[in-house]
Amino acid sequence: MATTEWESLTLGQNKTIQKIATAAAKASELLDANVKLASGTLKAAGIFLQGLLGPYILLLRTTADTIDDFVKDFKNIGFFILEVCPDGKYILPKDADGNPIKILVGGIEIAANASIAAAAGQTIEFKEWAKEFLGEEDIYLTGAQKANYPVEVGKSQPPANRTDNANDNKLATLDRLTGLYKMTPSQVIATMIAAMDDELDLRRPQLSSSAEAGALVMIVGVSDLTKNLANLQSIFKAFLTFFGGEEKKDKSGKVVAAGGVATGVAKLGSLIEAALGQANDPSKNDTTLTVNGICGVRGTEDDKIVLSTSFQNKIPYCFGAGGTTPNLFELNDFVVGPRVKFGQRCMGYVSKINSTEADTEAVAGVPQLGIPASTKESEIYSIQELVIRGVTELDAIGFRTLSTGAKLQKVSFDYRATVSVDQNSGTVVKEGPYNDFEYIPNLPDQEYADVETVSDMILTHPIAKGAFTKVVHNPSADNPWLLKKMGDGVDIREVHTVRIDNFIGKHITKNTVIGDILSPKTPEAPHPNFKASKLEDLIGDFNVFFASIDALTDTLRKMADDAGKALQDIIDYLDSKIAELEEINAALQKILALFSIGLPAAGIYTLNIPVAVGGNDYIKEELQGAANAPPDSLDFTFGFMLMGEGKAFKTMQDLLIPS
Amino acid sequence: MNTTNNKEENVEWEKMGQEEKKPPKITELVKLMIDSNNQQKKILEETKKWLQQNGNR
Repeated sequence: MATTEWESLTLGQNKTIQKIATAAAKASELLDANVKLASGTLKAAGIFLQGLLGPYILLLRTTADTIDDFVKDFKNIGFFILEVCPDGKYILPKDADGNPIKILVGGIEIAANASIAAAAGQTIEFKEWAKEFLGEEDIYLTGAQKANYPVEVGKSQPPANRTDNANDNKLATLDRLTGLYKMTPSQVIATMIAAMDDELDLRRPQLSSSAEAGALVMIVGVSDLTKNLANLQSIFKAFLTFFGGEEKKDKSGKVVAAGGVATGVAKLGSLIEAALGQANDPSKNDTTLTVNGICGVRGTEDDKIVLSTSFQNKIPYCFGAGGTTPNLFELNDFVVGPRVKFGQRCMGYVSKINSTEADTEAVAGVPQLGIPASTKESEIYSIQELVIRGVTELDAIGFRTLSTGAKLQKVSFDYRATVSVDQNSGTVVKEGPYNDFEYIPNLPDQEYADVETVSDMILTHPIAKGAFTKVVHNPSADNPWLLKKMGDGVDIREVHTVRIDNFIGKHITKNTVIGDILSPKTPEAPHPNFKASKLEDLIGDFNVFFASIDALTDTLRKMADDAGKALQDIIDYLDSKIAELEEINAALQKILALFSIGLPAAGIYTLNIPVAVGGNDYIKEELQGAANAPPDSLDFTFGFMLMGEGKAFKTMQDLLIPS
Repeated sequence: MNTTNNKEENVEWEKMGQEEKKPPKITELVKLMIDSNNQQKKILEETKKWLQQNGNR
């Protein structure tokens, strides 16, 4: 079964709709009760107060009646719901026969993409893509010859640009700056089509070709996560306010959006919140590591051989204090640690040095003379307790969980960027600049800066005489995920006089610092851990019930103690209710913005598939071929699909679609 | 495209907020909810005011 799962429900099951139907009446009843209680206990003129509020209560009941009339028409409509929210579990979408899903791309769109690719210097790449995916031998010679091309949907990046999961069946791509998984609109749509054929999902809609069916699909997408993540978060909140359920608190007291029917959106919202949190407060990615055996290292294994065999005065490969380059990790040093996956090492920098001291070295004993083995302070190796700040949350997790026994190595920071042809639509996609590193011994020893132009981006890469060894996060920058290099670059070269085959010459090593991570300091106890739990945690809906009882009994108890204090308690209670209503209204304003102006900072695309005969096949075909699909330059998208049977679903479409 | 269904035109994706169309009905409902909340708020505020002026008499 794919990671997408259908849910079947009615709109009346939605918490927000339930609240709409009952909130007004409940609030006025509760208010009546409170006012009576207050006036009775305080010996005040309750009747007078009720008379004062009468017109307001009447108006409220009229509004509640209008809401009831509005809601009763649609609250029992049944529909299926599917969310596609990017994560690492999605697999390449296939139909019931195991063939890749194809999406129609228009010939006009192909021609436009060909021009854009040529302007971006991607002519060869686009030509190859058109040959492989469209069957056009030379797209720049013949142009797009068909009105529509069915294109197989798979990974979005070309094989040469894939840095992880290059050849497996994973669909989503990991964003190199924010650490979030991302999917393009084509991938989201193809996943929706595949989910309709997923035989292992027993809750999926299975409407025959003679059944009437309709659907409403929404896709929300942004093209640059670093600029639009905050906007995306506000859209998520609006979505969750409408489609989601009650918020819950986890065992540490942190508020977790339960999601209601939109559990995937809720999870994605939490991930986005975490990513924004890291950007605003990078210290969330800190890990304290104890690192021993730290020393300066002169170049590579080849240098080691030269240093040990070819010099008149042998120069040690590993060195302590007194060298021309550092032998210890320093504040803001850019480092790499354990591998989180094949070929990729965790990146971070030293945000604090807790301690530095000499490491110990074993001294062999001399049994014949009765001298036992002992230890002494090392003149070369040191031990440091360092706080390492992961570049992303994924890096921080790697440092926390995979560090023990791994090497910590000082490297040079580097900027990278890529331009590629999206494999599902031919759209030219730019990515970057993003954070990367280069091993210090690999830095080119050249006089002038190594400058690269990638599309409209100019990148200056480090060289041996100008290594970017120190970095820092910059939360106030336009792109807070991109590290800021400190200084203009450090010369990490060391020149040695050598004698090889009786000739004297110079040998240059590019020096770094390396240590062995003993262990990360983790505040959590090892598993398994006991959990503190209450009945109300197990039975979510009872929370409200218990809270109400507590509030009521507390109020009564306090009233019995002191009438003056009880008055203040009631006023506090009213203040809290006023604040609660203001909070709900703020959320409702977001929903209003979502459905009326579409929050244009990000793209919200809708596809209304009108109710018609054709069942599942009809919906799949419309999804596959609908024109003006959101462009694949939106590389972070999530989708939401509602599908229903018969005329009843039309009421739902009327409710949610502009007319 | 399916030839058995009874729909009249091909469907197209639309970008919300950019077409000159009447907002969906859900916006009417949300406006009603906001009205309702504002009325509730007014009642609570009036009650608070009254209690502050008359509560201890």
